[in-house]
Amino acid sequence: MLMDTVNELVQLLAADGRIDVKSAACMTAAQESGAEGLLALKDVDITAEMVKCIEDTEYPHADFACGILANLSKPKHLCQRVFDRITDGPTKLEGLVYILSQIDYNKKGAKLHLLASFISNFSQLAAGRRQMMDKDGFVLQRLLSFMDYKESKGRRMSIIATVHNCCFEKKYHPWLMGEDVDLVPRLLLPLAGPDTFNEEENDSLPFDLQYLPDDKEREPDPEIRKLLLEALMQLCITRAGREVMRKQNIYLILREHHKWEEDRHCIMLNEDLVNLLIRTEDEIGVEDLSSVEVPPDMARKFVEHDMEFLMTGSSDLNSLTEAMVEELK
Amino acid sequence: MAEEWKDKVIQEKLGGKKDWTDEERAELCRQLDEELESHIDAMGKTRYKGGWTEENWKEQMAEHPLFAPYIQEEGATQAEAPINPLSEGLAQLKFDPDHNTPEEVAQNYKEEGVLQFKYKKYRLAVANFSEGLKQKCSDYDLNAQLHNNRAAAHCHLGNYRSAIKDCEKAVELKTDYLKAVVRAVDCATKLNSWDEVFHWCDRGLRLDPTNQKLKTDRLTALKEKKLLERNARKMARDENKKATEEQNLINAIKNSGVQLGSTVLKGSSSISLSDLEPCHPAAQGSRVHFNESGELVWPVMLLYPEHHETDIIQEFPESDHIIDHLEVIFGKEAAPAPWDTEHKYQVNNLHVFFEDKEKTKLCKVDPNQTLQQVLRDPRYHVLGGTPG
Repeated sequence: MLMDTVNELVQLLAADGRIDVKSAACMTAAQESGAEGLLALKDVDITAEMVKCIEDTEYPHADFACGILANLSKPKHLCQRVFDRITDGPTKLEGLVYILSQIDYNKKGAKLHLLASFISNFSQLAAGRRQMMDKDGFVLQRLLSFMDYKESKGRRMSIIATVHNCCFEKKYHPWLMGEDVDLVPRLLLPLAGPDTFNEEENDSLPFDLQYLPDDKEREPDPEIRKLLLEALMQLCITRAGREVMRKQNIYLILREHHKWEEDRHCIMLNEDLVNLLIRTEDEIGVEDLSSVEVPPDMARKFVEHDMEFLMTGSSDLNSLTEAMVEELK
Repeated sequence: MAEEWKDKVIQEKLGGKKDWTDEERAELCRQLDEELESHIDAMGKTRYKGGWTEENWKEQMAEHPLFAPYIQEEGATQAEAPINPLSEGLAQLKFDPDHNTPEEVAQNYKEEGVLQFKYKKYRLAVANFSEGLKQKCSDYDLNAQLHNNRAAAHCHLGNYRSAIKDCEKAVELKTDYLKAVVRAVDCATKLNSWDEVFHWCDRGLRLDPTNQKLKTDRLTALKEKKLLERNARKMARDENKKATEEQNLINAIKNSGVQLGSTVLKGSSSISLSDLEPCHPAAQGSRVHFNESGELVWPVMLLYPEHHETDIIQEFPESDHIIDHLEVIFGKEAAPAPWDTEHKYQVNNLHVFFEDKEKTKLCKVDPNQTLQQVLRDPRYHVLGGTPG
């Protein structure tokens, strides 16, 4: 009998259906059991229906359709199913990203910001990430221009989260940091403030970061800043990545950011990052940091240390790292 | 209509006779044949004269509509080409809406335009494509092609803006028209209109995500745009810096108590940098400024009213004593000035004065003072940024 309600809901989701019904559908989808139910419907492919609503430039309730899809794909075990359905359908991930990248796609006022959330859910899946970063296609690049989208925090957060997740695919680092995507300056721009450097320092930075105006604002949300820093951290895993970042002299930006930053967690991430960039490769000694195995007791100590830092703001990371390096030798 | 014509002939040529027997008809036919034969014989045997000769075949060919497009000179417009009755006739046939459907006419204009294009007659090509579009035929594909072709012709003429408009129309009619999109990208690139390049690249990459050329074009546009923005920021910063420095200078002068007289306005309270520009030609380029130790350095003018001469000391730090500079100019080692024939101007003999603000009298200056002290004398004001 849950199925009947759900069926009814789906029928009422038609274009001229009522708004309160649609929001109810959204709520149903938000709960896992509801989502399961909706996906299990045999005579109606809920994902296909919702995608049709989104594609229709004249559909006034497209935001709800996005919301339903976002909720359906949030739980990890359902995400794969939704992803498969989208990939099999006519409008694949690429099509959805294309729609998202057009600001006034929907003529009836739907902003489609939640479409960004939907797409970012796919970045939880390895297959999703790989599809986004397919060199032959053109998906990830479309998302990059929204990394500083001021009009919607939701969209900005979703896009940055997507990029953040993509950075965990080590194999794609050379492409991400190369010319085609040039991710590093884009990750740094929200962390950069007004220009405080002399001409020589400015010229050593990537173009995006040079001569920033006096009214340049940094990303206001600490959660988003955390994602940016973590993404940068990931790109530092390989020696090649670290060398690219050093060449782009991003240390300058991080230095200024450190002076400005107040969020404990972000400060910690900043210091970790700077730590890696400041040391020479000889000191670091390891090509690929993800290959380093941290013994469990040391891991515990690190976590404790982090907690302590977050509470009190004191940092004795250097000695701890020295100890670890000694142990690994 | 054929009936009337028949009646007319019967009336005029056959005497109105309408009933004929078979023999009479046969007789009439024979008669007509004989008349024709004798007429031809009468014409005589002359050589055909209208044909092309060895000498004139080139001109004849240039005029003949079938061959003209191959030979026409560069730059000749449709108006200039000789109107050949043959070509007019052909044109009428091809483009006559009475004889053809709009699609056929449009198609013919398209082919004509393509031909002109091949021979680099781009203006003619544009005209032809435009005529084709005027037909407003119902074949969307054809119209799309006409727009695309016209865009190409505009491109070669350098009319990139018009070309992009045509590409827009082409894609409206045929949404998967990748050629038109690529052409628009190239035109926008020529115009350095980077945002448009992005817009068109994005559309193109939607049609064909693997298209490497579009990706490269997009990257180039991105780089150029970044460079432009960075240069704009740098310029803004440099201008700001300059403005601040100037403001600091003006403030320092104001605060030091030196009074500036403006040659333009009386009693104006705000001083701009132009008031400090020296007017004297020898002092051009040495405006009052700060030296390394942070003190003001002025260009100073010495006037010798006796001889109507002047001297300029280009850099006179405020803390220097007047007498030190006089030593340099008039001292024992220095040669006398060319106008000082009697060598009267020697350091010990010199009286230094300045003219007070009201221009009423000369005030004596003690040469042992520093410039700074003199400048701050309440009776003194600096004109044209050059203390005199």
